[in-house]
Amino acid sequence: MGKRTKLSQVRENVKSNIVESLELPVDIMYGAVIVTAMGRNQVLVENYKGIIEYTQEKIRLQTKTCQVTIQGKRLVVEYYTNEEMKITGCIQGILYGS
Amino acid sequence: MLIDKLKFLQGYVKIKLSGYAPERFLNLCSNHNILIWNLEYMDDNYVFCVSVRGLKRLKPILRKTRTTFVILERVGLPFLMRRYRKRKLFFAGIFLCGGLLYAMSLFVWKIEINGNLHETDSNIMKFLEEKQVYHGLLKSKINCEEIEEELRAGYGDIIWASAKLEGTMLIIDVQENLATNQQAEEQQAQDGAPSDLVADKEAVIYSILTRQGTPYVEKGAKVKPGDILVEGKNPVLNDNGEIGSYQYCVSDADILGVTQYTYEDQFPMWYEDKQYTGKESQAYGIRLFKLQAKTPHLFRKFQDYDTITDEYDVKIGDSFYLPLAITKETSKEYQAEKKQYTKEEAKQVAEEKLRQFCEELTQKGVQIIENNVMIVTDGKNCAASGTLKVIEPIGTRKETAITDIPQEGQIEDESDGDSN
Repeated sequence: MGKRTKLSQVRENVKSNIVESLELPVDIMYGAVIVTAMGRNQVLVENYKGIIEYTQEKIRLQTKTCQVTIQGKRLVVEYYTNEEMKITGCIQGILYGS
Repeated sequence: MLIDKLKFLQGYVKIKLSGYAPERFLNLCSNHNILIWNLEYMDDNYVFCVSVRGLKRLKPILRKTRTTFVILERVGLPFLMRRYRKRKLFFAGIFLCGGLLYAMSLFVWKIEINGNLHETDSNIMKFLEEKQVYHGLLKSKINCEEIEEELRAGYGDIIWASAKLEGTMLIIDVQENLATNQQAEEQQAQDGAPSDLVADKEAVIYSILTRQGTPYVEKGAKVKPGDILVEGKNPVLNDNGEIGSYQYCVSDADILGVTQYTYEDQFPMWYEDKQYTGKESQAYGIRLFKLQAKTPHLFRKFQDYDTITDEYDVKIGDSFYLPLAITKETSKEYQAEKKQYTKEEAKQVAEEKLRQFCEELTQKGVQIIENNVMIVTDGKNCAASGTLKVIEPIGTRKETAITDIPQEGQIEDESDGDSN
């Protein structure tokens, strides 16, 4: 077990080194989440995995590396597909958690 | 916008989801590629829209997540069709309407003529009607090229014509030859047929400038209609100083003559003045093909009134004219008042008329040098009469009489001539 984590850590290091030195896009290499906020009322989230929690005040999304919480009032999911989700409403905050 | 229309065509439902693990349900939906939109959280329930096709695939997911849904709203064409499936006449009406529109679009309902300055629209319409091109003709029977050719052949001064169909409108563009007379003159000059300039009215020659031909009159000479002003032949003298032959040419000269115009005008001192009371009555009607129907004027109790009729063509889009027009008839009441001009007013009116007459003359290139018009008013009438002395170009073209027999051995248009 210990060997495996070590090996994967090494692998991670190598990968991050390559990504950083070649300046490869992070969203493709790591599957990092892209949050595009347009004005106060629209947020477009790409590269998410699923919905954990959804109320009018809070939408919690699982991404590959972390959780993203969008806080606001009267939040509505305009549409969502496998890759992206568009949220409208009065946005008050975007929080990242592990 | 377009996506909304597509969604409407396909049909979608608004449903309320409740149960054990609705979040998981939502995730599974996205994993199964079932599109969900307008997702809202309302009192522990999720309300969202899903297409009809997506709805059918929800069943296994519902079982897996132990959730249930209630349909709140059905939107879209499939549901409308279902609701109205028993109304056969309604559908028949839709198809009939479509069919009628299609049938109407097979005919020409409006003919537009552009570019005609000399020929009136109605004249050309009449001409086209004779050539079997009229309102309500099948579009397939129209041969644009033939129309163009007929127009060019039928009217001498139309030098270019173009016909095109646009929607149910036949657009005819023509180009008229504006310089017909000038060109004809040039043509004549080119033909080289010798010609004279002849006086067309009584005049005193004011000035004469001859470019070609033999002038017969001098400044100050009095001429009568028919007198030759410039003759289109030049005498050629032989060695003895006698006229041996004539050289014919197209005479060309600028001749100004002093002529007289008589001016006579009379109008009564009494006239009728319309005082509009501002009261109006309107009646509407429709015209289908040549049939007309209109509503009567319900509240019209006018004694004297003017009637103005407006007609609005019904069209779809910009150029799809239907054989239907809405007419609007407006009656305006007026009170007729008999009025008499004062002497001053009458003089003003008469002067205004005279001024207009003079202006028309000036536009024709006539210069007015003397104005002897008297305006006389009595109790009944106002009369203006007198003469106007003007300077204007005179002279019309006439073929030169070739009286001589060509001599032998002469190549040109030369011949023996009598002494003049």
